Amino acid sequence: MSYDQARWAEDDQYEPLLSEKFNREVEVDAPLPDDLMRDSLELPAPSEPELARHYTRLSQMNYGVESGPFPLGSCTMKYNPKFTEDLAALPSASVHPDRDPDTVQGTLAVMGRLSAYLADIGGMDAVTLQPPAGAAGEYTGVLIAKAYHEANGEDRPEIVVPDSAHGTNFASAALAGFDVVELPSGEDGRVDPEALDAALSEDTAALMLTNPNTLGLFERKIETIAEMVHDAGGLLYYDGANLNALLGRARPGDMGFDIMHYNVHKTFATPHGGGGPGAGPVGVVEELAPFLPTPQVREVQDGAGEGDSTYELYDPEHSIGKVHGFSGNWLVLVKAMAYIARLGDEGLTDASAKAVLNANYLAEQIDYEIPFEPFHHEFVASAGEQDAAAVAKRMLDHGVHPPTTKWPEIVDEALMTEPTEVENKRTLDQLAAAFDAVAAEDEETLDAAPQRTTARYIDQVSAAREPRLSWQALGNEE
Amino acid sequence: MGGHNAGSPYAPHSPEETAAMLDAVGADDEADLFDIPESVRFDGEFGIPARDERTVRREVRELLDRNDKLVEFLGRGHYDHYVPSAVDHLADRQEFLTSYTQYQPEIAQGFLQALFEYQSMLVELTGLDIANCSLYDAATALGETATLAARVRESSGSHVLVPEHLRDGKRGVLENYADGVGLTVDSYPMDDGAADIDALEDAMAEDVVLVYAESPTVRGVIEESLAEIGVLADEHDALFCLGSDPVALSIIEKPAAVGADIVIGDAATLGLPAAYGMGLGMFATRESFLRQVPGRLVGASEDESGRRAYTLTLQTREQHIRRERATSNICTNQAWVALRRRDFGHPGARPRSPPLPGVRRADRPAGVGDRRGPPRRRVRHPRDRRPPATALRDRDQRRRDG
Ligand SMILES: Cc1ncc(COP(=O)(O)O)c(C=O)c1O
Repeated sequence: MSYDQARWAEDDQYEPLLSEKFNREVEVDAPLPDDLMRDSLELPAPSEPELARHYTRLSQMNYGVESGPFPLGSCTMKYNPKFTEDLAALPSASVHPDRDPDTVQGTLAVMGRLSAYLADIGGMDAVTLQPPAGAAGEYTGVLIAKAYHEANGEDRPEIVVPDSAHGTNFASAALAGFDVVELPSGEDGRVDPEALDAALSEDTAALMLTNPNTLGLFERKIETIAEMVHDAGGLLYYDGANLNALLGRARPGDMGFDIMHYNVHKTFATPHGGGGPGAGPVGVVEELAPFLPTPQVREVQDGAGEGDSTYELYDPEHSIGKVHGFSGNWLVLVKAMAYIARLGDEGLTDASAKAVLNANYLAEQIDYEIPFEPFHHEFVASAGEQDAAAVAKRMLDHGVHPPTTKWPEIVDEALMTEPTEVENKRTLDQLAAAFDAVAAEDEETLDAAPQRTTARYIDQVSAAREPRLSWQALGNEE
Repeated sequence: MGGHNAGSPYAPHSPEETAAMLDAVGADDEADLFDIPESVRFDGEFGIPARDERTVRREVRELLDRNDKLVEFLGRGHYDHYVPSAVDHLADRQEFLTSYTQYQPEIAQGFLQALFEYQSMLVELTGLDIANCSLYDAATALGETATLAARVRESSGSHVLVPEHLRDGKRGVLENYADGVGLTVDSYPMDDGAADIDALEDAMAEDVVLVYAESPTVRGVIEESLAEIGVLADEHDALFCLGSDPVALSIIEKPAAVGADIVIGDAATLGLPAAYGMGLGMFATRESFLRQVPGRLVGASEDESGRRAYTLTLQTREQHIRRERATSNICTNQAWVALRRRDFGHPGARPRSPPLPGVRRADRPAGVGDRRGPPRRRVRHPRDRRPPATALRDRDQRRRDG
């Protein structure tokens, strides 16, 4: 496989900035007294054809899931079905957040249905759709844990997080005011019950776990872990980033988790959008439902058939309040609901089966060592003597998006690889060929990469030394 | 569908291919690949029937048709307005829509440049030095501002002051973020829809780290005392955060000129239709707080060939590096909404200067904007909480027994 990314360039830059191409001053007249009005506003004013060309060129200098394989570990870069975009774009989905619930029954019905789907998929009793991303789901979850303990008259200031966890777990716990206790992984890459025992105490509010963990390993002792955490009076939180490994095979609720977030831009195929918007709904067991954010949607069984029922909003009795100004990323939720409906039981189960098969098949084909097994939807290979970041740059030249690199840190020079279910055998073979070609290359070749992408190597360290964050900052230099 | 996979329509494996792959990994069956203890395996059903694309389309369309077709005048930051077709067509290009956060900048120049341009436009609109490339919405942006204030004004106080009339969602989110850093949220009175400056001055007697004001206010009034609020904040060594709207900012005095340290707001109003509150959190601030900024920042740099290139920068502020000491937990944000906003943000995309939805002067007679009643949903205070009946230990027991 080879790939040459588009490279539109003018002088010493790729596509010029809008301000450099179309810097015209816009006159604004508004009926305001002078002292309340600004003097000037300088924004580029391109026409629609100019604008269209600018953005089309920019898009050609960007790589998406439809461009080629995108095995970015932990990110679940699935194909994003087109029809879900059409549904989110329906004018009937565009409603004001302050509308009376009686006038947005359609929106509430979609939310009600999605909540029910998610509760079934996770084995949870109640779901909030409010958190706008995975990290926001974590934050919501730890706020719920805090409120629960407070309600029991307990002050539990600590949250335990394994060293292999995603950075957001630590940051979300801290944002809610908790102290973070880092749990060292055991020899086998999983939670070590002895280390857990040492970390748990009457100060423990919760343990946050990803399962399968970021090495792709299932926490086989999950029931023991749940018991230990609960015996210590804590709650068990499930980071849903890796749920694509388990659909239809196992449910967090059945494993003893009390709170979980779903990452719909991963598991349920809503587009990542170059960094959002996503959605991070949170499911909880019955005992914690009274703490969910306000408002919650509920179905009122007042009709004979399903189509007759109405929905209403209510505030849970001991609610933590709000984690988003309104009801989260509503248009993303529409897409997720449509995706789940399209796949159904059989499709969801198959998605996980194929995701796990693909990871195993790809792993089998590549030369890099994979220290931890058996993995599920993703594996973490080690680049060994090579620098994982340089491996990634070189893979770009082989026409594929590289894995996540250098994380989790328990594997040296980590290449965290998640092909997802959307690749076929042929593509996986091409991907494996790219891995193996790079594995055989020398340091010099790696250091000279990438050659075939729009930009050549960018030194991020020196970029951070003298940050220039706007065209105004660039202009001031000249 | 021929030899196509019978499960997920988006997993392209033919049965022969699946068999060959299973063979290659030495498994008889897909189930063999799962290392899940028997006791936690799920062998039930969700009861979600698979439907074909046409059926799901019809179903969702029918559900959404249950939303009443109404012309909306509810305003307050969310508007029923026209979004030009070019926005959808350009933003929906898969290279943008399906891409990930730009961790490999060499292959993501297009999106990075678009975000850099967005940051620049916010700098122009606010007059402040820097802007990030999005937070979730205005409410979480206000919450993040409180945590920033707690970090940079640690010694001087423990209160955040907000206007008496504030969207309850914004206040609710702020209360949660503020609580996490030990701050208390109090309100200052308003008079005829705008800040009561004398009352605000009295309120400043407490230790205050952050004063928040809005223009336009939730009552649709232009806040005329911004400069005075800025001075008051400065005198008390508190930060001044202004909440506004990017359309309003194109007309009203630059926030930097009235002493704002931070500007937040919801910019979704530009590129999204009213989307049940889905947002685009604006965040702009002074250079001096650069290392305290939450969220992603795109910077201009050079690649090895000497051409200007863009990259995410100052990532040592962020959760994936700094973990519990990060400036925020945010990872996935609203990048694609920022991209949409950018497209529509050019005055050239519209024939005339931007309209000012919901903005009117304070001395005008009361209009639609004032008729809204008090907030309907109250955010409960933690003190109202009572312990739930069942202890979780019992549930474990039940689970083991059952
Ligand atoms: C394991 C894990 N947890 C949490 C997150 C955070 O999710 P989000 O980016 O949606 O906030 C991620 C995202 O990359 C992740 O990989």
